[in-house]
Amino acid sequence: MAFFELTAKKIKTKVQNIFNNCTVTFYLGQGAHVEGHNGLMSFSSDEIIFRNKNGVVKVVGNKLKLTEISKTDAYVKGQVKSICLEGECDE
Amino acid sequence: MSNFLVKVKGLNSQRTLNTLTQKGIRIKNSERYGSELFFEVGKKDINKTKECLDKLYLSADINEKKNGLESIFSLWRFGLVLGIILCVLIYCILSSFILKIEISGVDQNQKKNIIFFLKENDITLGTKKSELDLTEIEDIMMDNFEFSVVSPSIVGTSLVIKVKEELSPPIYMDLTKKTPLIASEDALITRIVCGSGTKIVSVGKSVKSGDVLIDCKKMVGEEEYYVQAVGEVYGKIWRQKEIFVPTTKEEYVPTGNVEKVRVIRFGNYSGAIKKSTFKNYKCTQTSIRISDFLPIYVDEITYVEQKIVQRELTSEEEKTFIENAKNMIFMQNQNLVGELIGVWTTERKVDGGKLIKVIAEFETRIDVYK
Repeated sequence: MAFFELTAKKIKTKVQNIFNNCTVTFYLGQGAHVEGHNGLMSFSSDEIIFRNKNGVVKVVGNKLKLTEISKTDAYVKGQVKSICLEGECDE
Repeated sequence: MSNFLVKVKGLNSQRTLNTLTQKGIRIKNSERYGSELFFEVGKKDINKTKECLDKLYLSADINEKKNGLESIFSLWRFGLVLGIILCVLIYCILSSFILKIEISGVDQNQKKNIIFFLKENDITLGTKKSELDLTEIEDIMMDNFEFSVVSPSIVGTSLVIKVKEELSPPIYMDLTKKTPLIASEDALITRIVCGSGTKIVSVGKSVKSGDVLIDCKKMVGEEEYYVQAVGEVYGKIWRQKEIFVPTTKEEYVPTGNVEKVRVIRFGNYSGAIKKSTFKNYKCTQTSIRISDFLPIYVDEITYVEQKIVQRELTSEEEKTFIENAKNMIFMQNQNLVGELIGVWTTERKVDGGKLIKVIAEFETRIDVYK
């Protein structure tokens, strides 16, 4: 909790905004951890798309695999090149 | 915990995954190959997974995936069981064959001849044990070799043939007449090997010196034949020595009284030496040279008075008496061709001490020609 509070303070936003949105932890060249998604939209070895509250989160790279996925979080393994958000953002 | 590997055919794999994850199922290692989706679920989620897939009208192949350790363990167990079964089979098969032929009682050259002879009679390594007739082997070897005794046997997977070329002659032998074998002394028979003639005595019987052991007369049906008695008869004989062990022993003990006498000596010449007043004494002498130029010495003679004391023999001293008696028996019977079986003692009290009899038992040949 303190971590998120500190993060919210640093990026000058509200804590609930952090919790209400998708959090992606990106490990350069190794993989990514996606928390707070609302489901899987599509997945292939080049692109995995997760549904978000306001849009979609795309994880783009090579040789991507879903090593673990649950209702709200997922682990992606592979050469993750980029992560982008498409859709509306809360202010 | 082992996981289950699920293979689902269908185009909308993300819908499948979403449906499963929405039910709280944790999916691992999901991959898609064309229209097939592969993923793993835990044991606790497998039933839920099956229900979900049924509701989605998806057919799935579900296989239990053992983790590395379980795979190795089961594989190892399978391998172990298979190995044990194979070993038992091989053992059972091989144990019914002869894998070694041992011949004892002859030299190396003769062994080779015997093995070659057996080979010619189809008795070789690899022969089945059930096909061997030991009586037949004994008969053919007795017919073809000049052995006095042939004793074949099967020990494990070895064919052991014990052979005796000829009986050793008795100690005293006169081959000109047909004479029986008699006992050279009183003994208890332990072993008889009869080569020719008729055994009169049996193992366990006691004989006296001169008793016939193997007779020349041999009955074949109702006819009498006379042959030279040949054989070896072993028996137990005894040798004994009686010793007197006194109860007490005399010993000289110093009383503490000492006398010293000094005498001046020139070379080998000295004055009269005063004798001791003690009845029993021990005498020691020391000499000191008093001149570097002349051979002048001062001799000091010391008399230590002693008294005679009677004391009881200790058990160690008694044992020494017995050991000495045993050694005398062995020395006196060195020419005995036999084996020492045992030694024991008996004792009885007499005036002044006890008489101990040391008895040694030997097993030796006792047969001689009459």
